[in-house]
Amino acid sequence: MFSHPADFTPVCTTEMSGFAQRKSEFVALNTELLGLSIDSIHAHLGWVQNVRENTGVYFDFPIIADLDMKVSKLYGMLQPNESETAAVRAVFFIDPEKKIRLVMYYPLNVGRNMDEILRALEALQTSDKYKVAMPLDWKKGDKVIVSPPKTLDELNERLSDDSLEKVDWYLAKKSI
Amino acid sequence: MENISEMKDQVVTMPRIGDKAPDFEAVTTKGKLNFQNLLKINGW
Repeated sequence: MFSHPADFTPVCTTEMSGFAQRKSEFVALNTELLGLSIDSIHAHLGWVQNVRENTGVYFDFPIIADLDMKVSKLYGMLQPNESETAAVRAVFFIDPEKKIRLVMYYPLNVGRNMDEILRALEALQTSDKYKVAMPLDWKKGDKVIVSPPKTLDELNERLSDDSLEKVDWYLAKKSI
Repeated sequence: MENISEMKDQVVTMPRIGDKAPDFEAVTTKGKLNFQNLLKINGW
């Protein structure tokens, strides 16, 4: 779920177009898109149609019309020292267990990075699937970090495991 | 102005990593949405 400050504004138009153009990549990761701003449903519809007419990009995912700010407040998207009337650029990654797994907050004047949003999503999913952690700049195909040993027995086992790429006993990587 | 001042002073709560995502119902460009129903059942 992600918020944008307002319909018919420039940075938001580039961001929402980015989500729309890469929707198939989110679908491939079994992930639903859900937008939000503090605008009316009529403003949303007008903006979606305007962008489609001007650029051919169609925002084919639900966008919440949060005029009463109910959802914005619930998710901390209203940050009054940044703006009293518009939501900041938030992204909440919510897993199938309804747990919040990753949060991004961007100010009004800086757009988000779609590559990073997709990278973080895939990293979270891969981490869950293989019970591993992801190093700096991890991307699909890179080696992953195996959990450090928690006992001396595990430490000894780690030292004798030649299948891992070991920087040291506490930092070891493997391919998946 | 008073409302804005009060808003700035109030303690803002926001969901944190690991928290359960707050449930809500909302009007969207695709119709009424019940947040709980949106989440995939099959995992990601």
